[in-house]
Amino acid sequence: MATCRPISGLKLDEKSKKMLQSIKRKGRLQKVLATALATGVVSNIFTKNDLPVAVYNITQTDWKLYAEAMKAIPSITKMAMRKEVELMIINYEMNYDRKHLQFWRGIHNGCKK
Amino acid sequence: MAAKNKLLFAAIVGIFLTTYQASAQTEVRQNMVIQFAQKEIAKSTLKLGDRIEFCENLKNSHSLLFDSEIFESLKIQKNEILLALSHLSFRNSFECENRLRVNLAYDLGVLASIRKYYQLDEQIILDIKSELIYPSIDEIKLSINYAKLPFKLKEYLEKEIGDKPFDLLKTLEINKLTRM
Repeated sequence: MATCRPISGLKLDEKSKKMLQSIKRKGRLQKVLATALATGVVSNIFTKNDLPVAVYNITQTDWKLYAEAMKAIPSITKMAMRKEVELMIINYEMNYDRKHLQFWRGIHNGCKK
Repeated sequence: MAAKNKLLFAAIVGIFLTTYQASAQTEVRQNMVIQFAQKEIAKSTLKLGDRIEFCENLKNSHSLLFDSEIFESLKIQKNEILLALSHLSFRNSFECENRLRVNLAYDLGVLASIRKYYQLDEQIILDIKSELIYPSIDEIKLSINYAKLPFKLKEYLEKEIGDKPFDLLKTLEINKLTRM
């Protein structure tokens, strides 16, 4: 199977555009989840105020947990994105469109600009 | 009179300080509750991430070759096979991760519920669940359309495929079901 072939004259249809938006959203939500975990010990993005009287006890285990959870997030997001891309490939196999199929296969294979 | 005013002033300050301390205590408890929920999310995120990697490795090492004569004898259209294989691929991947995915969805739900209780915005949590944890509408449509496929096709494929995750695109390739 040839990968990352140049595609000329591709005009993305509405379905593809929508899917790209969806994938972009997932990337943004990945950052939100990562931020939530990164700030999990203080949770300052999720409460209204900074609390001068609040006292936090953060153990070594807590730090380790959050660091490892952070590493897990890309797997979860990648999986969600991969499923979307596969769905698009199947869609363009079933409703054959060579250029769109090439485009989505390129994304699946990890072709970058 | 001056003494009475001083007393009144001290009482007002006292009430204010007590209210502030009580409020601060309430906020401390709120933060602790949210922190607890986020810690649970960290644990279930970690477990799901590990499980996804495990299932992906299973998937990447597993593709299937079918007997094309079976499809011919059943008079199955190519699109029906594509639909069936897609659904079964997503289904098996989901089943592989299911329990841990559900656990993370639950923990996110708990945090959303807590945030709602404290009158904080919970929409972002619901978005995370919807976009990263739950199946997409297209996956759900795939399941619905799969149910309508010929019984013999489903029977054959489910017997051949089983419940292990498999590489969908590689399977399409080796069965010459793809145009590229």
